[in-house]
Amino acid sequence: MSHTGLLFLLWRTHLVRSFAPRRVWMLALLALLPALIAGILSLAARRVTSPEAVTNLAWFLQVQLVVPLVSLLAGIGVLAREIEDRTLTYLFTRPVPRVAVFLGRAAGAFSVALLLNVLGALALLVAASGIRLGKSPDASVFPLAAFPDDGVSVSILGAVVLGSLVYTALFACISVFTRHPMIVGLVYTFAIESFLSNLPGSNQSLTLQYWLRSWIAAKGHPIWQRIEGFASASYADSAESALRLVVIASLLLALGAWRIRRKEYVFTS
Amino acid sequence: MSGPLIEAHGLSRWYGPVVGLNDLELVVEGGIVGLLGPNGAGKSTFLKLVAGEIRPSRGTLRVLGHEPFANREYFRALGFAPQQDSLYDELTALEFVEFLARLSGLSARDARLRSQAALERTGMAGALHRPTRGFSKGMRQRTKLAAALVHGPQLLVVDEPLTGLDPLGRREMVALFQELGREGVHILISSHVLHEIESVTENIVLLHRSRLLAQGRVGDIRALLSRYPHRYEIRAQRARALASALLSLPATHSARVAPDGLGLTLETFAPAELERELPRILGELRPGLESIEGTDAGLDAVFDYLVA
Repeated sequence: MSHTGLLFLLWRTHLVRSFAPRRVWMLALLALLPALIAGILSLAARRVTSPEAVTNLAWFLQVQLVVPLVSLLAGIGVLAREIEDRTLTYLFTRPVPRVAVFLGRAAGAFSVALLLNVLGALALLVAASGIRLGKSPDASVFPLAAFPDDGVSVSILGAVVLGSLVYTALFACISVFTRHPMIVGLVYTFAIESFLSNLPGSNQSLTLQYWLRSWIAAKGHPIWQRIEGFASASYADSAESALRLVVIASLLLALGAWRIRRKEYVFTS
Repeated sequence: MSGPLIEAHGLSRWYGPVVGLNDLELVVEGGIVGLLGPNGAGKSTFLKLVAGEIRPSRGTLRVLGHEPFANREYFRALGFAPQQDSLYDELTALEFVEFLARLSGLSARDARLRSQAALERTGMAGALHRPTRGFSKGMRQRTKLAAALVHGPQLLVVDEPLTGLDPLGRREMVALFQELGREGVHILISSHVLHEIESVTENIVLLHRSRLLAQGRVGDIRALLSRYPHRYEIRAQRARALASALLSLPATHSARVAPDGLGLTLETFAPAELERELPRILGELRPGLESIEGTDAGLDAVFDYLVA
């Protein structure tokens, strides 16, 4: 079988397994959390506009927590579930390169994270468009109201795509190095990404979150500047942010692929 | 295959402070080989080493001329059915075996046809399209075996394959192993249930406390244990009279009558001589013989003796 065919087989099987109903419901619920909150706001809010709801939910919840957590659950599925079930043996005693196993499954995990995160972001935009505040949404900043501008939706969707890529790569890589990727991933998400990225100063640039926010800040409508804490950092431009995130994701995948080649997994009976 | 099937020299494997296998010297020529030992003897560690799942901590291991760990060329010739029951629960039996067949390099069409054939051969014809999550332990064993066989391996390594099977299933599985052996497939099969292995092969490797205890044919190993007599369990209506007659033979070491007067345990250091004399005595005495069983030639007895 060609390398492409092998990667496709591994990708497809990973998708089939990932989208089994009992596995995917929790991921879907998590991805839709911002949309659910936006939906509640659309019913009950009296002092928030659609753009405010979308930008704040996207900035503090979607990009900062939901995208990393969905990517964490998808990313560790590259190996952790196989290790937990001890089914990795079936893959590692077949004449296929371990690197292909890792990359094929990482591609599957990215597809899962991407699909759920993009659907979650779209659902957020749709749900928030129902917020009226006694007047119509500002069509100049909220395209789903009147679709004239991409200053909100495109920047969110771009950040979600980039975030899905880099976080899935990160957590897939972590799953190669540790037997407890969930714990490591949660600690990283909350202690590094959520905490450090909200501290004032240049330390923010040590987080992936900073580069995602840079993408939004550079691409987005000025309404993003109303978000609390926005001014506490100076953001990079969009091209540099996107490039950095893609390079980081590639390096993480390369690191995971290198490590898995000779890594030994011991399963106890 | 040139050279032995398995060749291990000073093979050791430890997990931190825990010794899994210690300084194993072993040469296995081929055929069906039973790997025996109590829990913790090192069987699974040895199988994992042979399957290329883990690497030795010290020493060397060559299987089919290859160092097994992460060796793709070797994996083409290997079929491994691990002890754990986990399958891909989201897939059907056919999808699971087919997926692994594709990974073994079969084309899509061949993978489908051979997966069906392998599952039918292991008795899973009626469950090809059922998701594996609802499978019993026995069905999982059969599916694992089909996955291990699907690409036509030279060496089949199976860890506790009879566990969870009902008596009929065990007989079918034993028959399948014997059939595969006749087809020229080398089989390394582990179990801690001794009579299971005995029904599959006479060639055994005994492990105990992470070390090699003995290797060879059951009968040969038994013959080495000259300090232990062979034992026969006899059921007869006139067991006391039979015991008395047998004690007159030079070959008889001891004869103990059971409290119910119907059972007799006979021990001898000269089984061949005793077995020549026994029919004559039975013919002359007519003790109402119900059964006679040479229990001590069995693997249980060999194992008990060796680890005692």
